Amino acid sequence: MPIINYASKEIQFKVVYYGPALCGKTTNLQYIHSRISPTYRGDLISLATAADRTLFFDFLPVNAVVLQGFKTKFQLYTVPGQVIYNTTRQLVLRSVDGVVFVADSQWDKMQENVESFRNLEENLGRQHLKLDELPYALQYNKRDLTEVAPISYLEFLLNNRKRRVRYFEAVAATGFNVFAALDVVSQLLLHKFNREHPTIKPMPARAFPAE
Amino acid sequence: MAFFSWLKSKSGDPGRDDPEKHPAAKPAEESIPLRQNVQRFRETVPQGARTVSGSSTFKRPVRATIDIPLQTLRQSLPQGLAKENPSLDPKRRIQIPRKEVRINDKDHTGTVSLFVLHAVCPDIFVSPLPSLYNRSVKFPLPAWERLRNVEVLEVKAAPVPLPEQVEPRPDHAIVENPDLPAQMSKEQTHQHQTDEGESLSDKRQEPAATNGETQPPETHSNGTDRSRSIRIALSPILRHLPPELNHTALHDAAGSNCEIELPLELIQPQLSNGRVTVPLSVFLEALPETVRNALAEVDRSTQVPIPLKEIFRHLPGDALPLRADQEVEELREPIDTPFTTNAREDAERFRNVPGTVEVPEKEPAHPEVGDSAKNEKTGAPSDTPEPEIPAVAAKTEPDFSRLQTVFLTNEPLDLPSIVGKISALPGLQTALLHTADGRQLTGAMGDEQFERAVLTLLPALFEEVKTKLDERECIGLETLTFCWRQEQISIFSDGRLCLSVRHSRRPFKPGVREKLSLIFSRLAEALSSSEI
Repeated sequence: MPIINYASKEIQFKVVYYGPALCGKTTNLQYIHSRISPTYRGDLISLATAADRTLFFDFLPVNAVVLQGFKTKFQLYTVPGQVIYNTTRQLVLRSVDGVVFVADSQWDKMQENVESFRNLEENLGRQHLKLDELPYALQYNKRDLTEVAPISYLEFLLNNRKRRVRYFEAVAATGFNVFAALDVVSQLLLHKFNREHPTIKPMPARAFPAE
Repeated sequence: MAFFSWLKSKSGDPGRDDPEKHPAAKPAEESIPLRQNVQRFRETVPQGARTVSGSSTFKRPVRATIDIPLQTLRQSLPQGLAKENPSLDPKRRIQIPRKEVRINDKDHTGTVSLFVLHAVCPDIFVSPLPSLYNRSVKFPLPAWERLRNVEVLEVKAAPVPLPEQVEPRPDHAIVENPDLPAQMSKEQTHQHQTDEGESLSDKRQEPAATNGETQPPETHSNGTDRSRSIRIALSPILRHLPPELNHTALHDAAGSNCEIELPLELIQPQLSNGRVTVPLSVFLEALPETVRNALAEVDRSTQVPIPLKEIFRHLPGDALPLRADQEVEELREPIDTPFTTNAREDAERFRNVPGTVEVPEKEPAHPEVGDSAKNEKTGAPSDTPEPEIPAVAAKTEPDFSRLQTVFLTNEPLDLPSIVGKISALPGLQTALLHTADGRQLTGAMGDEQFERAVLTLLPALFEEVKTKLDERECIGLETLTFCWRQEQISIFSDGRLCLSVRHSRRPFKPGVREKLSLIFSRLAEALSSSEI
């Protein structure tokens, strides 16, 4: 649920990049960080181990005016993908507004994708959230590699639910479809926000400098 | 009449996946033997099709999807959206949720939004795709779909059919060449209606998807038989065996062309887990006699992993059914977000590279956001052509722009800076770029003795190991790591160019080897046209 501060007229949306270990969640955030002008974003905060593995989470704040009179802030998080850090994932998922599920397209990562997706659903369930009611998109990452599963199989594994969501073939290392996936999730959550808060009407986006 | 003679000529090889080869295309007298297969029919009769609690009529169940040949859809796409992809089978049928299609019974066409079409069949669209909001595409309905809309579907119900009365029937009553014109004469249509009516009165039912799940296929066209088994090459399975099963004798006895047959009903339910295994007992049964003894003493409860890639090479096309009741999520009114501009810029950037997802050459890897804002202010087009580079210069100067994306940097790269960035990767001390014949290009190992050993020995050793592995069909050697005392050196080689790195006295940290491999492949690609 977005945090709305009527006093300071601010809305904060939280988007979480979820997925198995080494699927490219941090790379997504690094690319977004590298493409957005420093004027419009904060620093990328990354708590990683010496081996560049995400230890706690990555965090990137992006600011923009989207809704009338309200400063809208997007907070982008990643979770640690390694199985042992489930408590951290649960913490990061708290009050999540939208999810980009990053799947690793390599054949030998299929099981990890499925397990991570189930883990996402389970962790959302602990917060009484349903995946089917949450704005999310699927990003099939590492499509530039040779040993990758066909999209039809990834769709069968991860998008075979009653609600079929948008998916993106992506290469986070080059930025291919990184913003496209984030844009769609942002749009979905803004639509949802508008449905739930009809008094605040959408306006064309205009970025404003980070404070 | 020409249509029916064409049908007859096509009916020689019935196949489930190909409408042209469908058994329904056979003349009635040829399909009589199928009536004997009573059990199969009984398994596939949809629940909803039976008369329940004394109802006197039943309706033929309607499939939740409409099947349209891929070629038809591609031809119907607006100009500039369709992508030519010769690897796609034009006769492949695309399943579109029926409720997403507006069917016009007068001109036998269907209309679906481009967004939905892209969701169900992205392969026929150019990539990346321009905005599809509020756009739709009209396509001719194939005959089998037109006939689904014929209203002569109610017939008198009968009690539960006796075995001798029933006859199995395939998915589709009528087969049509997808390439034929959509229009059919009234006479032909009437003939099909009659056929349909007869088939219904014969109690033949369509094995439609029920409860949101498509029935698994009875047979498939890749050589497996009706007992639903799948043939898989043995050598890839052996390569993925766990250590306790990995006996050299197995590899030796199996040979390179050996295939084993595994039951599909054991494999198919596991596909949704992303991992497929079979019990050792099943695996042993499938193995040739000569190989079986090698695993005689292994615990029978051990699970043998079957590589998904191999399974998919032989899997029937309809073995991965998507739910029939899916609702495709659609964004009806696009809202601009802080990321929309970047998404558009990226789409534009990647558009000019058909079939790839790489950054186009001669373009900065990470254009600043400010650039587009500047263009908006000045009104200058964002795709201003770059100044032309003389052809000679382009040939001699290697282009490392694709490496910028790997290092996430905008700064121009050359060999020393690349090697410097490699050395700075976690867990590495130094890096040396050299040729396979021992010439040093750039970088250093930090120790003269190391350097000499690396330049003279490692490329030859790498080639030797690679050759031996290739002979044993273990293709794709990427790197070799040599450890002695506390030192470790790894080498990447493509037979011409080599990259050797010295570790910080410990193995590769997670992800570093993969990153080095990517860097090396791009480096080799960039230097492929240069003399090194």
